[in-house]
Amino acid sequence: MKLCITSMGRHIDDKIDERFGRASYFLIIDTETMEIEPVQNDAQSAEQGAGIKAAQIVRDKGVDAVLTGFLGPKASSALASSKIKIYENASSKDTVKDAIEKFKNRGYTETIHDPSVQRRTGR
Amino acid sequence: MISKELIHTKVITTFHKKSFNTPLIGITGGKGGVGKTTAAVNIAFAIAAKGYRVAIVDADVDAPNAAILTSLALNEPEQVYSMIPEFIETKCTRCGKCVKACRRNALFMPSDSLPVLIGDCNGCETCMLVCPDNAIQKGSRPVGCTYKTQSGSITLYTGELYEGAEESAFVVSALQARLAKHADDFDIIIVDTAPGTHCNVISALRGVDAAYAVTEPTPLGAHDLESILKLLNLFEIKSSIILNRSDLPGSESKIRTLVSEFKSDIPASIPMHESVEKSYAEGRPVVIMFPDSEPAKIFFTLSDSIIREYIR
Amino acid sequence: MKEIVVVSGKGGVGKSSITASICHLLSSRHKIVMADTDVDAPNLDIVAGATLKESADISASDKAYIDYEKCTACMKCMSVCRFASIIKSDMPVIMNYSCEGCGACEVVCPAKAIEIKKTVNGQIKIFQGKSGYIVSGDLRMGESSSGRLVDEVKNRARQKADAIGAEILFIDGPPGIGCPVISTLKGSDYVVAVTEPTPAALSDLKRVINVAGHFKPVISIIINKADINAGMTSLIKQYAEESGITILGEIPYDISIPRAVAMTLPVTSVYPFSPASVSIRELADRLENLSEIKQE
Repeated sequence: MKLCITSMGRHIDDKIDERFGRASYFLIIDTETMEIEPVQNDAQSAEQGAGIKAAQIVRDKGVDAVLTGFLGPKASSALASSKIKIYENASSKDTVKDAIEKFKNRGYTETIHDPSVQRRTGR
Repeated sequence: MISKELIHTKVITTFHKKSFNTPLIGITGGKGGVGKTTAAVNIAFAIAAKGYRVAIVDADVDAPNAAILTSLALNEPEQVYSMIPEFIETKCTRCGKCVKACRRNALFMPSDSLPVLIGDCNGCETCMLVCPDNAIQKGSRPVGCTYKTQSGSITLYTGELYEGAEESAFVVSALQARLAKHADDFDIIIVDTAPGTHCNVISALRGVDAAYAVTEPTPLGAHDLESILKLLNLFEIKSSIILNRSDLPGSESKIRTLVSEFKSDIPASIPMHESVEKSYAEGRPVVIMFPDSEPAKIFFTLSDSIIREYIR
Repeated sequence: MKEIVVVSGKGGVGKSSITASICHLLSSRHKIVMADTDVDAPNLDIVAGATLKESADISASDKAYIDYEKCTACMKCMSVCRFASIIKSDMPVIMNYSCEGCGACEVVCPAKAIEIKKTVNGQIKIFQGKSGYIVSGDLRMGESSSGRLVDEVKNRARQKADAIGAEILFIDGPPGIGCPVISTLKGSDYVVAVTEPTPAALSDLKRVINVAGHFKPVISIIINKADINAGMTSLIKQYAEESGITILGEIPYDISIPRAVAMTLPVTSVYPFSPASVSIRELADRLENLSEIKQE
């Protein structure tokens, strides 16, 4: 599967960026081949709707799942509309490499998007 | 930035051009809770008591209180809408131009369906302008409501922003458009603005012949008075000051300094008085409830001078 | 860190002076950072008697700019602007105060004479007061996008609070219920709504509480000048009870408050034993419990 992890930098040894819409980079990882494509997040500097714009970037890359620290309600609803799976609670203490390992060992639980639940908006 | 060079008198004259001839008086003040609406309704009722047809426009659509202070009902509701895009399945080619054009990033293109509106749409219609296939039609989202209530020689125009909506500006515009249709039926129009110096205050003051800035002699009143006087100056609006609760301790000297700096005047100075508090709680203007009280007399004198100066 | 937002719906009910006093009291036992998001009329620094430490321009606004060398005055831009921000005075002129920077005019301009650019729309100021730092926003005269300036003030205040390890971020909000109020309420854990016993204030209180409720915070009410109208005060209490909202406290009408405001100091610091100060002390203690600051 194609997994997108929010990262502080372009490399697998960089730390996790817990933000989604304002993340520095998206590392798109093919979990079978471990091939990695770093994508700079152009939504980072968006005045408004960074989460939706970021969701568009990763959707356009054809990812199957997103792993990040926390996802706002709008980004979450955008990803859900394209059936992209959401995994939250990745920690900035971990590197992307750690997170992939943990992901493969089912260390994160999938967040089920519920549009009726008022989530805290992103900070 | 609005620079002095840009806002030359000609632009300002165009800006203030209105579609009717009825005199328009603004009541504003910068700070909240200084008595703007109290002043507006009392001036309006005092003028009406002299036999004139008066419209009161409550342009504080976030926190509209003129109806409460006059016990007037809210009649003739008209809903205010903001446009939202609706995508036509048979025409949309999913080209994504609308998604890119939306500067608020409110639109999202899912993997295998039409674009969806997820973010905050401000009704700008840019998505419709860029769509090459006319695949977007205008949907609507209610953001507020306006009301028109006539009672004797007083007509109240008021509006409310719905709770949770952000488009105060659309409700203010709708209120003004509604007023403009019948503006010539009145001898004078009194418009009461929101607190502050933001866009809704400026819109409400568009076309006024003069504005009265209500304030109180506290450091906060003086600070916010300076802001509103700067704004009135920038938009070349003649200003006068109504000093409310004039016996509060604080910064009357600062206010006097501002008066001379901005070439303004203080035609009314109203001390704290039980009659004002009572009429406020009762929802009846002090000029009606206690016409012989000191505050009422001050409002009558002020209104007489407004009649002399603006009603022909 | 806990975030406590103070709103009122109606302006001038004592929001800033009560906020300054509560912060004055809580700052003796907690590290506090304050923010003033009434970017139209920032007053918290005045009532708290704070001094300006730093200020910086903020470009939290997009605006249309017209290149008059290219403009042919076809006025297509004016016809598509939904915000009445373009007026015709020989040439089209952008009225910045209502321009949303949406880009509709840019899209239709056949001469490509319009560009949307980032614009300085205000300042972020940091004040040092006796109770702690105050981060405040100041919208430039005639500018728009107050909601985005509010976001910026909150971001800076959170950074400041994180940097000094503050336990509470106290946010003094603007009047009304529109865009800057919604930006202020976003992400808040605790909302304190200040009101006074008048029909107008109660009407506006209900409106702002309905807006705040959307964000699911813990809401409580402070009734200022509670003794000026017993009938209205009981109506407020009845409303609170029906809505399941706690009354944090009642403050009597007390001349010590306007006197303290005139001195630009919190009433609890200059008249610590006045009836108003006694009530504020009680409600500050209650707020401390309610917001679970103590347990941390």
